[in-house]
Amino acid sequence: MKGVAARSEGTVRLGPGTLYGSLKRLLEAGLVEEARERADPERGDERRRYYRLTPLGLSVVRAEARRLDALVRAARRKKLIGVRPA
Amino acid sequence: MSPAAAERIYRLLLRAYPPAFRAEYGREMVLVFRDQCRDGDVRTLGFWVRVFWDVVRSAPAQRAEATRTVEVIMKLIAILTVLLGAFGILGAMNEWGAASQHAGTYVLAIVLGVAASLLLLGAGVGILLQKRQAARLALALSLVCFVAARLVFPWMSIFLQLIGFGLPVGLLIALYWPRKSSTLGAASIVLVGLAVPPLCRAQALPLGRWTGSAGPMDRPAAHPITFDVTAVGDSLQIMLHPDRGDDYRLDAIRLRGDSLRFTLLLARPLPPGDIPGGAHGVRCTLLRHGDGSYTGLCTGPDGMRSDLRMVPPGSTQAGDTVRDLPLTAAQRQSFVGTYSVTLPMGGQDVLRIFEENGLLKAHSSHENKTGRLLYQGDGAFRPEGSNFIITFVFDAGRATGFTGRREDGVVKGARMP
Repeated sequence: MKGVAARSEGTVRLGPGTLYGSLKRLLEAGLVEEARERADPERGDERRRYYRLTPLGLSVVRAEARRLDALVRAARRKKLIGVRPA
Repeated sequence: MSPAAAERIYRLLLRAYPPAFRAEYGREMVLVFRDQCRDGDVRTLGFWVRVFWDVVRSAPAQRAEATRTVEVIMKLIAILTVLLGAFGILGAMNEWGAASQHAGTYVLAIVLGVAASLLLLGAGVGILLQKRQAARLALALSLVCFVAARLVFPWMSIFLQLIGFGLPVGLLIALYWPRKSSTLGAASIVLVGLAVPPLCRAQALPLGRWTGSAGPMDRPAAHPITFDVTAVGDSLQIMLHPDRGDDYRLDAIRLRGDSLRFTLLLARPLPPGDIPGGAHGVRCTLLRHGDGSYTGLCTGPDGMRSDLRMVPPGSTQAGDTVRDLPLTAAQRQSFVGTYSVTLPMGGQDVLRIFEENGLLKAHSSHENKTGRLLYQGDGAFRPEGSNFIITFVFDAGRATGFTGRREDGVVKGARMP
C-alpha cells in the first residue's frame, strides 16, 4: 500500500478493503496467484500471505502498459503533454 | 486512542464485509490495519476518514458480489436439493409396495435410499436456514447412505447415481471452499460423470450364475436355462446354457437403464459352409423388474418369437423356473369353478377356472382375458405369461380359495357358491 502511494505520488491511497477486494478479483481472474514462498524470508510476518503475477497476469499487464504507452505517445504527438506551458 | 482500541473498532467495521470474504482476508486486513496504525496517527480525524471511506467504498461491492453469485446459486441449489430429496422419498415409498415380496437387499436399498433422500432434504433446508455445519453433516451422511444403497442395489440408474453421488459431493465442496466452489464443483461432477458409467457397465448385472427360462410363445412349457455372467476387463461376457443342445454367447450386449438387448450366437465355432440353426442370430430385448430379474421377447431371423427370463444369482426367485406339470382329470376338476377375487388396492374380479382340451384355463372378467394355468406342483399355478404364482387351499379334496403375490400386492380368491 505504501508502494502504491509512493509510485502514484500520493494520489492513490489503498485501504485494506480496497486492496483485498482487488486481490480477490485478480485471483478469480487468474491474473495473480498465492506464492508459497516468501520473497524475503528474513522479513515479513509469517501470518501474511504473498501474491505474485501469473504468466497470464504478466501478459495482461504488459498489454495494458503498451496500450497506455500508445495513449501517452498519441497525447505527446498532439502536444497535450510534455510541453512546457508558455 | 490506543492502537489496540483502534484495532477493536476496525474488527467491528470488518463485519460490513460478507462472511466468506472475512474468512478469507479478514486476518490479513487486520495485519495491514495494524501497519497503518503504526505508520499513522490513530488519534487524527483524517486517519479515521480514510479508514471509513475504504470500508464504505469496498464492503458494499463485496456484499453485492457475494449475494449475486454464491448466495443466490447456493439458495437455488438448496431449493433443488429439497425438491430432489422429497421426490426421492416419494419414489422410494412408491417402490415400497412392490418391495415386500423381493429379496431383503432390495428392501434394505429402499430404506437406505429413503434415509439418503431425507438427509439430502435436511441438508437443503440447513443451507436455506444458514445452518451450514448441520448441512455438511447431513450431506456426508447422505453420501454414506447412498453409497451403501448402491452397493446393495447395483441396478441403480445412472441418473440416480449422478444425483446421489454428485449432488452431496458438489455441495460439500461448495460449503467448504466457497471461493473455489464453481471450479471444484464442476470438476467433481465431471469426475463422477466419468467414473459412474464404467462402474455401471461392470456391475449393473451381478456376476455369477443366473437362472431363467426360455420357450417359444406358442408352446406351453418353457425350458430352464442358466447364464454365466462374467466380467472381462470393463465389459460383460454372458454365456447361455440351455438344458439341452448348444451353448450360446450373448453378443452386442447393450445395457441402458432398465433395458437389456443382445443377440445370441452359437458358442461353438461353425465349420465352413455350415448353416447354423437353433437360436443363432436371435435378437432379444428384455426389461428389468424391481427384483432385478429381466423378462422379455426374443425374435429369430425367421420371425419366430419366444419368451426369455433371467433371474440374478442370490435372488429369492433364483431357480424359480416355469414348469408345466401334468394334472389328472380328477385333479383338474378339483380346481374348476368360479372364484371371487380381491385385487391389490381393493379392486374386485371374478375368475372362472375351466377345463378345455385337457388343459386348465382361467378367464378374468376384470381383464376380459383367458389364459392357461401352468401347474407348478403343491397346489400352485402360474398364470401363463405372468411372473407370479397363485397357491390354492383345499377342503375335502376341493380347492376353496387361493392366494397370490403380484408385484403390486396380494391377490386373494374365494370359491363362489
